[in-house]
Amino acid sequence: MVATLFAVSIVIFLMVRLLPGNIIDIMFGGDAQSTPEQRAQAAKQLGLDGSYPEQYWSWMSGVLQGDFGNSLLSQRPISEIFADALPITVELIVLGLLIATVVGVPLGVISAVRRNSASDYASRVGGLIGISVPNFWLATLLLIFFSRVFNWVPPLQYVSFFDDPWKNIQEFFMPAIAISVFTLAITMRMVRATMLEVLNLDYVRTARAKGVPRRHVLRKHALRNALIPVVTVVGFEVGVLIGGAAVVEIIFGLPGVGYILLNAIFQRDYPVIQNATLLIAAVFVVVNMLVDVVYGWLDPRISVS
Amino acid sequence: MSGKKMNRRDLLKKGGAVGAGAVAAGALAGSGGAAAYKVARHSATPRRGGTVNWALEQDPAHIAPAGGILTMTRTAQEPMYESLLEWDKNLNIKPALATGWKVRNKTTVDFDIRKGVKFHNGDELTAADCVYSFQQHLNPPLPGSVSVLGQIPAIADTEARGRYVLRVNLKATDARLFGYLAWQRYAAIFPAGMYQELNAATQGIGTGPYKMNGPYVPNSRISYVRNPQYWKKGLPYLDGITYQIITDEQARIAALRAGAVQGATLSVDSARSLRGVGGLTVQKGLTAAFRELQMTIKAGEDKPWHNVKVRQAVNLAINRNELIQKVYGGEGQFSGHVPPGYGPWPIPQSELKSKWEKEDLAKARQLLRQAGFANGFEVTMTTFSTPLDFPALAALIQSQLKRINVNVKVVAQDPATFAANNGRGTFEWDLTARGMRGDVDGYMAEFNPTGALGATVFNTWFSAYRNPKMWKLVGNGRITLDLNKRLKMYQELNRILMTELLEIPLIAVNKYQVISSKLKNHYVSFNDFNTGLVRAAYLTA
Repeated sequence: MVATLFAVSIVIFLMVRLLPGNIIDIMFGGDAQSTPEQRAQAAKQLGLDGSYPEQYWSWMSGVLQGDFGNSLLSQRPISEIFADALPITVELIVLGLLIATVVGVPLGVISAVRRNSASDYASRVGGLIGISVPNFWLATLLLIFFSRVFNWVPPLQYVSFFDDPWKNIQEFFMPAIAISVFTLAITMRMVRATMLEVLNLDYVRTARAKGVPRRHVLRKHALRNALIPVVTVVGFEVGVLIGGAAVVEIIFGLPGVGYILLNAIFQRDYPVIQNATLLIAAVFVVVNMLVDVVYGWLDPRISVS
Repeated sequence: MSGKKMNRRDLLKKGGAVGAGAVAAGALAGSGGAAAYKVARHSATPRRGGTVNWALEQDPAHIAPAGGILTMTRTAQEPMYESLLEWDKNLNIKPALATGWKVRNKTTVDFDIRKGVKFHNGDELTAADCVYSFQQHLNPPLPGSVSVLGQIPAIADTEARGRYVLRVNLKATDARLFGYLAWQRYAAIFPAGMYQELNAATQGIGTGPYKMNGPYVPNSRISYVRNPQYWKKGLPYLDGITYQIITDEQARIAALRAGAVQGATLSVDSARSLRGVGGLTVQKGLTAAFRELQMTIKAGEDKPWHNVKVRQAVNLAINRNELIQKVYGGEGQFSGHVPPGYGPWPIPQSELKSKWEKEDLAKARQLLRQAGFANGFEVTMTTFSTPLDFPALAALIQSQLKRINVNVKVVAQDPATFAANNGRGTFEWDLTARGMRGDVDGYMAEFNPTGALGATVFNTWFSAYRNPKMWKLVGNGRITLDLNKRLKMYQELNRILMTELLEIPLIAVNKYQVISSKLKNHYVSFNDFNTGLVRAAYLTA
């Protein structure tokens, strides 16, 4: 994990500096007038005057001590920026995942059990639509629909669930739906496919032949085994959700990590870009570790080393 | 001069008396004292009360008064910070925190500070506060940036000559001083020691019509309430203004429709789509962000447009009416190097349309033939990838110039990439938008290589170009205080620039704001900010 994050830090550090233009160019850009001395002064003011190794070491040594530096544009400590942004993104992703699994898994099971029925076809068409529809389009559509039909938009200011649960739910239900649809469709399709496979296995048929109630067979024998590949997919989908969250956050004005990161890229705010990317990479690594743990729980034969 | 409207003509006429050698200490001042500010008359009686939620399209990053690089930073802090002078709706300079001034000599101006003005913390405004404020502007502490210093005139320092007199010492005669103060963007006045007492990035104390109601919450909102001690009696009308940061345009539209916000700036297409929607009013107003085609004429290169006839041909081949019709829905004006609406300085529309910017393909082809480019040439033009009117404009210009065999390759770039190439002069042509300036010199300084700042731009972009007459006009224009002389200089300079066309100004566009129909007396400000909301608007029941 450490090696992965170290590699990511080097790659992102270099990548942002390879992008044409930096924040100094933005500050002095257009028809703003400046002298080389002023540009040098601005670079020094922002810590961009050293060599790349110096800048990298300055950043990394801070990170290792818990100091992520300051935004070049606002000079806010990045730890403060993330403290505000992280809960928003976490909530959005958790809700998205929750909707995707709570709705997607049962739909997949129903679709598999009632194969070729009307509900199966409906689920499969819905799944296809879910995979095809871009989340930013759906997000915009939801916003326009509610504002036009109900004259209602989500609350404009973020409130934590613990401060005002109802307002928080109002704020998050649309973005959570928008972000979850793709993962929901994938989950549904994967559950359906694996369930169909498992339902045809000998041990399931044996259990049914022995008179075990159908529900018991599905829940205890079939579903648990069918979920193993689904867990892999869902773990992978966390990365997709993080990416999707950025766009949805912009549309709904939720100042989460994705929102911050996108704006930082446009502004060439290096410390924010670097730290946000590192954070996302760390989350990804941790999630994949958790997926391995869940594997072990689902199938004791799989050892976690 | 006390408290009454003063237009640029009056202001610089008084300064001109000094320029002519007549030092008239006291003669140029008004009667001094606390000037009563007259509230503008309205056809209906403005109603006091109500809070306006306004959607900002960009996060301001911070609200520190000194060194803010984003226009949105000033917009966000405008309700609470003012300066010594201000513009009215038509860019006439008026007294504000200063009631009057005396031009002592070519490099010294004394401002009479308005007595009895209170900061939001209850302290009285004095000259010492102004001294402190200008110290921060001349050396902006973080989160401010030194990159804004090019917008500030040649102020050496300021000193308090008593409790209510601020002396501004200039490094050299600089006619930009008054426009810079009236613009207020880089000249806000705040209490001495403010940066040490609070976090200026998220909090502030000013003299403006509104005071902060809690700190600025980044990427979320900035909330203001009425300043009950505001020195302009009777103002403001609103109980408060809350700026909500909503970067997505569709989200702003949705919020307007739902009544969650009472105003927002939108793109032309979005604003026009809301015309006729019940409860909403679409307003528009010219801005200083005219579109311009810029070229580099660098030593060591041999490009077709180094020849003035080629530049003139390009200018004549551009159909500005078509640009306005097809990209801006018929709403726009022709622009010279100084945008229309910028006081007495621009070339009149009639002259632009009939002489300088009239499409003439035959003449364009003739000029190209004379320059030896009858078969045309190829060029790369960079522009912004967003907003979308830039690529649309570029595509239209590309098709127009094809008619004279000029093949333009359009490259759209994100703003940071564009800024990098623009600042370093690593482009052939670029299509860009200019911006607001405190003084007309701001549109001309790049055409004079002898000034410290102009040297950078000129030598980066125009190192192969020589025109001492142009340079002299630019340089003298900055140090001439007599308005009539200054106007004549800039009239001549404007026409030289329209002949030489180092940059080809295109069109001036409108800014669109959609407001609740309950919001009255609001206007779209020319100065890039929300001055109409802050100073004049009120809500009906």
